[in-house]
Amino acid sequence: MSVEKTNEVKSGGNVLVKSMGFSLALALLFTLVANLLPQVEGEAPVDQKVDLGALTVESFVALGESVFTGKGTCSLCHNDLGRAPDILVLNMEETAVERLKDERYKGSATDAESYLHESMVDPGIYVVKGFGKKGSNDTISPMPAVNKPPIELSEIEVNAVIAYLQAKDGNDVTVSLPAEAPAVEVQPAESAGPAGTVEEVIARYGCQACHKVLGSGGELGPDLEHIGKRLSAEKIRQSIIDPNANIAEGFPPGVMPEDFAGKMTVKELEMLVVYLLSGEKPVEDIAGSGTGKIIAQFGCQACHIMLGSGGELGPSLEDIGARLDADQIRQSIVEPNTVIAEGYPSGVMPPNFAEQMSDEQLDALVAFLSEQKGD
Amino acid sequence: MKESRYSSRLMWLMLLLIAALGFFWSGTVTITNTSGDWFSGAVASVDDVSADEMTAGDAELKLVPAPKPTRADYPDIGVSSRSIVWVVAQMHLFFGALVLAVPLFVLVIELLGMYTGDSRYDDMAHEFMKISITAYSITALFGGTLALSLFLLYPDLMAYLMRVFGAQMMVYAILFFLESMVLYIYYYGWDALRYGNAKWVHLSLGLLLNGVGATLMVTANSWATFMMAPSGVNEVGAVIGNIWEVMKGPLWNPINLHRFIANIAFGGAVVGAYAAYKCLAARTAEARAHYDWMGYTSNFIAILAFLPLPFAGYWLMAEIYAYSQQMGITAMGGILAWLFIIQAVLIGTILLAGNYYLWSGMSRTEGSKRYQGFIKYIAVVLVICFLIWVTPHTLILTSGEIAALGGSNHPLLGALGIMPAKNIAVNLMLIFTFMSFQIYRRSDKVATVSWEKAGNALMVAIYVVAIVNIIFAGVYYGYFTNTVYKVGSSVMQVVSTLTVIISGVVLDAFLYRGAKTLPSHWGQVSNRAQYALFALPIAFTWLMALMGYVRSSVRTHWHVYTVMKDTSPDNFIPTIGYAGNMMTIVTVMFVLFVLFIFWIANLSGTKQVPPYAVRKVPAAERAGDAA
Repeated sequence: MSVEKTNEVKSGGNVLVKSMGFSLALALLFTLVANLLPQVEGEAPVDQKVDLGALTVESFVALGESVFTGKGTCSLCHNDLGRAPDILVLNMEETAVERLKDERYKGSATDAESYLHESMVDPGIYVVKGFGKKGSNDTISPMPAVNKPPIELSEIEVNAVIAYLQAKDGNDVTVSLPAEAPAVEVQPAESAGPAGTVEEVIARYGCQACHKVLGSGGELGPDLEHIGKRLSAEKIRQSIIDPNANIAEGFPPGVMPEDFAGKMTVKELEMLVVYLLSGEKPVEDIAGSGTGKIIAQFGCQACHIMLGSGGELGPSLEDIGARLDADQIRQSIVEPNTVIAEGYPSGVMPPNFAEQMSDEQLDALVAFLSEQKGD
Repeated sequence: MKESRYSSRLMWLMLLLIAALGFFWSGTVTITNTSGDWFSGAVASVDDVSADEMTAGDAELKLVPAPKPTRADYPDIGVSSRSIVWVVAQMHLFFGALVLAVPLFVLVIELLGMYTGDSRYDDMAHEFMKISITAYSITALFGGTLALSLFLLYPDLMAYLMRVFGAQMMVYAILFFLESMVLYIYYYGWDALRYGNAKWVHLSLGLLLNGVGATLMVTANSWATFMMAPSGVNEVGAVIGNIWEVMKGPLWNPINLHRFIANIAFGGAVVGAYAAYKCLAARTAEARAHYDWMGYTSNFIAILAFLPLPFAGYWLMAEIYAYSQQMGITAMGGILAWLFIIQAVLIGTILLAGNYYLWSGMSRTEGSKRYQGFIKYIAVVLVICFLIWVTPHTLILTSGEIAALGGSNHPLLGALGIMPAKNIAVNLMLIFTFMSFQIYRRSDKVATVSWEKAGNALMVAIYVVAIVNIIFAGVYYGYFTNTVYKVGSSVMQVVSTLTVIISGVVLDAFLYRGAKTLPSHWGQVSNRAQYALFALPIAFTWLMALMGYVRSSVRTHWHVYTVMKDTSPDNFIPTIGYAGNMMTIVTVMFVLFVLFIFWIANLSGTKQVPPYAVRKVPAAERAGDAA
């Protein structure tokens, strides 16, 4: 009896060892297959901080290409596998013109550039035959809007892709370089003409994106609050129209755009030079509580996209009302470094807006931003 | 032999049960839909309230966007959070699949036992449940550990999911209590409710157990599918629908079906390994015969459930493409595409092992000699199809590899790397596996119906037409038309394969009615065949780990696709090697835990000999005997 039991145990033990060995060997075989295949990591896309001042057409096109194959994931479908039109083969400038003439085209684009832009942010406007969603008879595009999740390209990135698509076949790049922070265009009729006050000049040309001026601004360039004590009017004027002629100590050359001379009116330039030379903060021009004026006065668009334009040093405020409630928005203005938006550095936004704004202005701005739901 | 006749009944009963559970689900779904408002206290549809009526407080309460955690918001405990959750979640899913699947086919086997009056079915079903009962405890332990891990390591994500699903989470917990109670009554009341009307009570408990289990599964599935394709929320993740709208995302039912079928195949494979182990360790012919039969039944369940699984998978991928082409291509043509090469290796292993087991099993009966000539041809087709399936096409290559290959795909083999070729290969593998299955089942029978020749000719014709159709559709539409037709052709292929399977089962049911049965001998099978039964659960386990990883990774750097980003340090897709190592770790862990379960199952049947029953032999007497 005991001998039989011992044999059973031995038999069981042998079977256990053999079956475990077999199972382990098989699992290791699968592991081996996995390790023999190419080893590639899929990094999460990282927002590229574009040095606006240093952009050239070539670098803008290169940015577009990297977005096309990287963050934009365009090449996932737009390749030679027939999933979507192979736009690397197509001359998109010519193709765009043809599609604009197509009777199926229902969009509002008028030229190749605007068509390409439209095709990315609203791809359902025109669906190329044979590439619509299954069963939709080419009325629904399977392509996601690239400026929304999960791709979320910024306006600069979308334009960079357009520049790439234009340049790859030797066409002229018509899309504008985002070299300067967009002008404040709160009231289009007014913004068409020259700026009326020094605040408008500073806001329109985005000086605060890089310089501290009017009590707030970035630190990419030197502080301009007391520049008049260090430089003459002539030197100030030269530093605006030919910024790389003399570089302030501790700051890199080539960052500040060189085209202000061609963009500013003489009146604007002189108004700015006089203000910078005087070093005194004008108080008589404080705007009222109209939201557009508040935005212009405090240069919000130098760093944030709002009202359809603005810089990207800070998060877009176009949909801030959908992301934050009124109290959070108020806090982000008066205590901007308490909570930092994901992907943006802390310490950039001036912390003294609470001191500069009146309560009415702050309330009006908070109410306005709370309504911005991104629609 | 009676067993093979019963196996056909087993198959029909399983199909019936699947249909019944499907009906049960749809009923549950309808009930939830119509009375789901009570869930919606915090998530009522904003469509019901006009903007004017909604106060600021209401809007704040109801339209809270998904959180946007920064990297600093993720606790760092010094070990990769993703790896911890990966292992624990996978172990929970393995055991969850097992404990949901086993009662399903146990119920069918129990029903078959009552129907046939053969107590061996009842005993086998009870023995299967013995395995499941320990596995259930382990499932719960890993489930609890997983919940704690997630709350500790991903607090913002869990806070968001709690807000989205609300009271549904409590319903899940309540169902778990109900599942536990029914399970224990079902298992421990087996012998108390074995005969007469009491058996019907027991069977009803089994049905209830499966109903609750299936509801638990679809409830948990809704969390996973919400993360892949959120519904009932707006662009920023604020809840704008009721719980039903949140649950019924586009991927919910495809996942439900896929997991339901896969669980059965997985459960069958695991209990098959138990039977194989017992068969190999058996010391008596009777025990070996019993466990050989148990292994055969388990393999039958696993392969039967496995055959339709690719079609459920196809539906799931089609829905993923329909939801987001980008997500679909990320899985099938992007960085995750290589994983499908490993999938081909795994499924090829499963099919080859399953076929090998069937071929070996034909040695149990002398009648099998009539069909053994087919085996080598089936083997050749399976191997060729397997090689086509593992041929890659769209590769992520280094520049050196591209230069060496002369392009991103091999100049000669590139044509075999695309889906049309693979669709042909997969469908042929399934058809020829069914052929193995069919000749195995025919091997111990001789048909006695007058239309035997006509019936066989019809079966051959169905095979030929289906095979020609699969190859034609794949080649013509796959290589000579555009993408739309290419995708559409796979439907023709699937229909061809299903036609062969269904018509084969139906035809044989009539063809072998009243057939002469040839003698066959359970236990008369090679030991190597038992190792095929070990190969099945290993490949299934690895495959589950792999496909679960693919399903989860298609979200890329999003916790909840498009509404909540993953900004944790682990928000990248790791290399295939790393993922493969993780899969092997969880597979080996699972095997070790399963061995523990087998050991516990054996221990419960082991009785120590009472001390008084052992006669003590004096030393002098023992010495005398030796001399």
